[in-house]
Amino acid sequence: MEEKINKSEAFLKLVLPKSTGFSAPKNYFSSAEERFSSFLLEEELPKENGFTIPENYFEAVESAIVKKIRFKKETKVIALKNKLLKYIPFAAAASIAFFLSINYLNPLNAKEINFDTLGYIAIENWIVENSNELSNQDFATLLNSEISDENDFALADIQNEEIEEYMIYSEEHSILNENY
Amino acid sequence: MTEETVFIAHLIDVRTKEKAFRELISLYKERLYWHIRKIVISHDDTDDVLQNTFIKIYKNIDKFNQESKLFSWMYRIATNEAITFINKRAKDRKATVSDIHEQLASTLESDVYFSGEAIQHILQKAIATLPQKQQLVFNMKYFDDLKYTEISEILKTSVGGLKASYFHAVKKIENYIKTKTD
Repeated sequence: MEEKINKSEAFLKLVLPKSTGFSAPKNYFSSAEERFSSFLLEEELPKENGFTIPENYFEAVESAIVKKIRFKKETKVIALKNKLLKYIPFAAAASIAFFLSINYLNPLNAKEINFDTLGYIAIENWIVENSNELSNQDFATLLNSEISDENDFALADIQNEEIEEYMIYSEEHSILNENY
Repeated sequence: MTEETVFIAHLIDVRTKEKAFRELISLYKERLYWHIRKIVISHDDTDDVLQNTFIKIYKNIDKFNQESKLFSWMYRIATNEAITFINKRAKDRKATVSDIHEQLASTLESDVYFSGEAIQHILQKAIATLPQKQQLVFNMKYFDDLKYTEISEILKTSVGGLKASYFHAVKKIENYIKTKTD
């Protein structure tokens, strides 16, 4: 092995210079003592920071924290599975309600409602019950919409016979009094 | 009391340790620098590792049992610091130690503090391909001319083991250089 080592070493020494080729910055070593001993200054600095705390502070803070933890209501843990199971009946009921509303309450399926389809008694009952909410203005608006032409009331179109008939059968006799 | 024992006593004594420590830096700064430089390759990294080495020496001098020479003990600290540095870099970069050595060797082309010729660059690349232990042995034996007994004291390895490591190292380097220069 020695011989082989010597042979290989001889080859390396033949082809290689003995130096590595590395260099260091100029004056690097001349200032080495200062730089490499600079940490000694840190060693001389006091280790204590000078801060103080009240006497028995840490014991007090510990009991205060423990006290707070003890009285804090424990958070109830609800399993996701139980929560989901709880809502299944509601979801089912909502689905049924939705189905019914689609089939029976859909306006497209509803029969057309107008005054002709309503009974007179139903209309009277409604007016009596809601009379407080109806104003003269409401009636006026309704009448205006019905009266398309003022000439509908033109006296010219009323026949004399009809006036006479009205006067004969009217219970309001005061209209016969000319002095009125 | 030998001269070295007196010097160590001064390094431990609170009254004299600072002055003695400066003297220690003066005596060993260059040898330790070049030893570390051959492992970590870049000057800046060498500077950091050398600083850490001296801090370790200063803080642990009172634990030095004087079974080995002061120089060997310091060399061992420097070696450990340099290897720790490489291992840490490999861990940080999620790479192998071998990858890091090869990456470092490939940066030499653009390193302002590498003035070697092409063949010296090839040699550094060849060294980078060796296992870490063989690199250390080769550098200490080939460049620093340390004896096997001295290397054995530094690396805590048997002389026989060192000879085998050196043999494998020179053989591999020889082959590498022959391949690259043919």
